[in-house]
Amino acid sequence: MDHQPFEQWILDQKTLTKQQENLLNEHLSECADCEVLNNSWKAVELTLQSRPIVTPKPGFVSRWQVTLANKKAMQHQMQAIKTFIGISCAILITVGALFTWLLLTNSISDVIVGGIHFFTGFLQTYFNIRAVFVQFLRQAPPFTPYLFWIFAAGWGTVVTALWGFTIWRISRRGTVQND
Amino acid sequence: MSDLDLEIIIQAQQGDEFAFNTIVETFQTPVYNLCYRMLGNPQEAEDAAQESFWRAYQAIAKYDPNRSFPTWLLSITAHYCIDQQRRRRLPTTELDDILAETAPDVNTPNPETVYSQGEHEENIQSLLLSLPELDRAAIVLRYWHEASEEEISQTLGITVSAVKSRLHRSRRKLAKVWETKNSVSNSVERMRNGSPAF
Repeated sequence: MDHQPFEQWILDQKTLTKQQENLLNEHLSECADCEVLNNSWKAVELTLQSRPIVTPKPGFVSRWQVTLANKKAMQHQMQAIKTFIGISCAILITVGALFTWLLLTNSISDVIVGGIHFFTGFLQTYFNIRAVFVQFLRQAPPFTPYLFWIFAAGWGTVVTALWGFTIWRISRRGTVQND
Repeated sequence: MSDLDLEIIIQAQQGDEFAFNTIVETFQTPVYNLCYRMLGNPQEAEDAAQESFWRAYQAIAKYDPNRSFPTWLLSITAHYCIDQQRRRRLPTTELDDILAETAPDVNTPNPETVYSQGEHEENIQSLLLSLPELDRAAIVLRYWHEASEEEISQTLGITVSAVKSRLHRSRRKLAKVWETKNSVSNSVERMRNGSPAF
């Protein structure tokens, strides 16, 4: 038996004309399948229309604020990890390229000799600078250490004041935004 | 559906967390209800609702104020729930959780009322869980959020004709599931009450 358009009329929630209603009722009295479909859909529709709206447990907004803080922290962490990986990769690639270039332009023995020469030269420079510094301290006037401490304390005060001002400004801006 | 001041949305777009909290407060129920109807579990619904708001928070700068905000927000929620459902193909419904969820907050409820509410809730959830994800989303939006076919099409990103055909298919499927369930429960009832003498 042809169930169209009766199935559509049963299921599609459209307002039927008087003639369509009569035709549908006539079909339902003859067709058991459509009658079962009609009854079942009416029952389902009734169930759906008695639908309760489910609400979240109290404190959803507070839990959201915690979620937001955690997600932001995780996002910053991921950003830091990505930056670290990016910088590490860039350093590795640069060192690798430099090493390859050295191997291609020089023999291995030259590279080793050059490396040792560079390292010893580096150490020598360090010792030279240290010697110059010690010599300077020996010849410096006796008030030099005091001068150094005054200089360090001055800069320390400036930096601490700057840090305090920054914290105050950030916290004040947060309050203004929330107002 | 809940209305919201456009000014609050614009403030949220400019990064005002307080304004976004107002959005969360306004839409917590529709978003949670959609998640619950899609996933069938209170804990998963809570997680999905929180995740949907996080996604909305990240994308709010791109929101077009000419579009309906609830449709935009429910679209994010529906797509997230559909993805979750596709990842976990075997949905489970915990009756205890549903009972706890549907019980009124104030006054100790009558156990009989709780039982019948739980049974009713279970009926609805088992009907919904018999549908494919996209069809379920269409039915939930139609019956719980009273969305029109156009709104459903915008929310789910499908054409209006696809919405119509999905709703039609879903209704037929729901009727068939109802019919099967009732014929099985009737035969079980007959067997339980039947006597070997007859």
